[in-house]
Amino acid sequence: MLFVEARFFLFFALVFGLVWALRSNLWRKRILTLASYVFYGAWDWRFLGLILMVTLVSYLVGSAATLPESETKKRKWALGTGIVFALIVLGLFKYFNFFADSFVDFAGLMGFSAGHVTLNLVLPVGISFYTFQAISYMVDVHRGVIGARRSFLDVAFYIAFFPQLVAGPIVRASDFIPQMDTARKWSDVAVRASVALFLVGFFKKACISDNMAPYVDLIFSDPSTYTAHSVIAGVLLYGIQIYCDFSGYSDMAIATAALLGYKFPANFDSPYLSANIQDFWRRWHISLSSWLRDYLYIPLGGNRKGNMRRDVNLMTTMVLGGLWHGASFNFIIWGFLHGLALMVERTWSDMVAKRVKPLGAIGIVLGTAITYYWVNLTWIFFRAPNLDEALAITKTYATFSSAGTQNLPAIVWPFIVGISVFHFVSHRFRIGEMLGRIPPVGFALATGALAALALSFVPLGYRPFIYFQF
Amino acid sequence: MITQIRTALVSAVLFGIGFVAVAVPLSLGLRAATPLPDLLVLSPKLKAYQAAPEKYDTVFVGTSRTFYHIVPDEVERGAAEAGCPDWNVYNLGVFGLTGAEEDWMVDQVLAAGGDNLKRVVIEDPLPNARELSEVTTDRARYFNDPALLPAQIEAITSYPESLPKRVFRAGMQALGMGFDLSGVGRGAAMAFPPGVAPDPMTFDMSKDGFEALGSILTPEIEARRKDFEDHPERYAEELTRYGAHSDEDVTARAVYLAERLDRLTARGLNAALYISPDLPELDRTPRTGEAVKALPGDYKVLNFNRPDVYPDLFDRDLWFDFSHFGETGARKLSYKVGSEYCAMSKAGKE
Repeated sequence: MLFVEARFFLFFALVFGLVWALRSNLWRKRILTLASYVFYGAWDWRFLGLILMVTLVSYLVGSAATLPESETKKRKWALGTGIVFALIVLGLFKYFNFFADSFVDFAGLMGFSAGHVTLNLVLPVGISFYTFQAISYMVDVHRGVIGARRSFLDVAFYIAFFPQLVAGPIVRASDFIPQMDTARKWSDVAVRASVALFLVGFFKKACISDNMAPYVDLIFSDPSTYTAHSVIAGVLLYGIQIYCDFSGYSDMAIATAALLGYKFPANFDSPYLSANIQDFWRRWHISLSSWLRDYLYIPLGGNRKGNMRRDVNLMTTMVLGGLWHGASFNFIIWGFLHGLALMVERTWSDMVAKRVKPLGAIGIVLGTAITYYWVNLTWIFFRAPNLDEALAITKTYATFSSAGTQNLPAIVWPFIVGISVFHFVSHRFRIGEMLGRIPPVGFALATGALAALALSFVPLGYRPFIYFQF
Repeated sequence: MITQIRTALVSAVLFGIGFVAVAVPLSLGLRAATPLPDLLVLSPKLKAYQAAPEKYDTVFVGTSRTFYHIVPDEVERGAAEAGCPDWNVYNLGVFGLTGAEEDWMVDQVLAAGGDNLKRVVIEDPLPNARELSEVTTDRARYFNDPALLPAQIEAITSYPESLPKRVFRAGMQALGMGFDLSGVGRGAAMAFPPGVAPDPMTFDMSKDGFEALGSILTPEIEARRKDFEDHPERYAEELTRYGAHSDEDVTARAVYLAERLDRLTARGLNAALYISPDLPELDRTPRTGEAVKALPGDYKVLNFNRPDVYPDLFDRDLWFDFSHFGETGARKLSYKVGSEYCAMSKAGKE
């Protein structure tokens, strides 16, 4: 069930009406949890057992945090077991075949022969997101950031809440769980702002991302037949596609949760306007980057143990961040390239930037252009079906040359320029927020008109969200 | 609570007003700028006729039972041997043709045909769609043109079936039109052309629009054939439909078809209604044909779905599936069509 499908609107209308008609907070949580399982089961009901198992382990590990101080060992053991369990679930479904195949290939290189062991497992939708949320709950409880929940329902509701269940944002237990202690008030819901945000997300996903997808597919399926400017356009279009797809989903998730009375943190903040890679990671998939920072980079030592150790920690975090997206060397390279850029940037900052006069606005423009170029280069590895194709596209992207003769339609370049200007203008003037401030009558008329306009630009046939595969 | 509900309802109404105010004119504007989509069989056959209308004086417009059953050469041979030499027949049959589509197709023929066009044969078209997936296709969207609304309503209300079934079809039609008027996808299709232009639909025109069923196999055609071969007993069962009592009143359908024949006759054309052999329709279309003949007026009805009158056409070996002949059956039928149409025409009706 996708946020852009008619059946989702029907589902949401039902849940929305039911939740706000109830006065009891407990019953609201029950209904929302049940609805979340229905939402998840609409993809594949078989994996409901898995999510319930992850929830049960999280609940038990959380409860272990209430053991007395004298039982520290047991508490640590419980937390370790819980995290290992979550990682095993993730690893088994997502990485087993990748590591098994890689081991066999490596053994072959070393002159040994090893038989292939392949598990025919379907990747459960959203597994990367809900296992990270489960880890967040277990760690936050053991760190004492939040108290362990006595109610299993609370943990189940936190992990399964449908707006974020399948593709984030990765909501921290410490951000979300306190919200469920009191009944949400309708008067606190910013209805217009939420509807406006949903519409913006819908527009990004259905009208921009889905229209770009066929062009991107053409370029990435057979890059050698296209001219250099078409290949470069294809790469930039993928940058637009994945941003609009994922941030569009996040906007709709945040808006959907807000309409039910719950606040999610922002997940994107105009990332392509970042002046450097560090800035980019503060504005792209914020919930993942901050999760990795707080639960991986800092526990590894962060930047507290010297530059060398900092660089190792950065690279480890980014490579694991790449691997989080999927079991493929392309994702590892993607993470590596980002880690490399962060290391270069830190070194530049330490050794050069402090000694020369800042370039001011020119520096920001130059930095933004270089960052945009680099980020798009890394997307090649993220999107390409294999390493060979990725390298071929990267070569064209870097050298502006290709032997191909086919072109994408002429519309793509004006579109890329137009959407870039719109990205800047909407960030500068906060267009979505402006829409939310229109008075009620005008807002209802305007959203109706905009919805009609948007619908016209929705291509026929749904495409799943890119991040569902992660 | 009541205030909140009232606010929500007012907002929903205003949203709807804003939506309709933009969606409908936008959709109609984009529709006007959108050409007929390239449709399988329909587009190449229509284009071929429009490109050389002077080659033909007789055009058959109808469903798959025209497409797969009317062999122009055989119709011409039958007519010639019956005393009508030099007919030039074109088969403009298209599978799945519904009432409004047939009206539109006849209009295209009349617009292109000019003075050379002498005879137009129409078929009792298929009923309108019963499933949502059928009213949202490119083809259905094109024919959900508001200008064709009266034709759609006439086609639905005249079809001989129970009132609840007609109401259901009308509802489905309304959903299809609503889908089209929402404008969904029209702007996208216009603004973002496909990266690789699809090959245009083509059709082998060497047989003047006829195609022998089974000469090109698709999974659907193969499945139909297999079903026919696997169930010989059903053939006999289907035949028992003929003459069986049916409470579906065909009067409205007869009037509907007669009006279409009148329109053609008023243009100075020799018009006829062709009722094709079709086993599942044995309890319906033969009666419709007879009802047209019984109406005041001099209507030519080529009513071949009658096993008692044409027993040789109901030999199981001639059939490809339960609704269509193979090539041998099509040739046999076409010869008879030419011969009988000529006889009717010679009887002072041309």
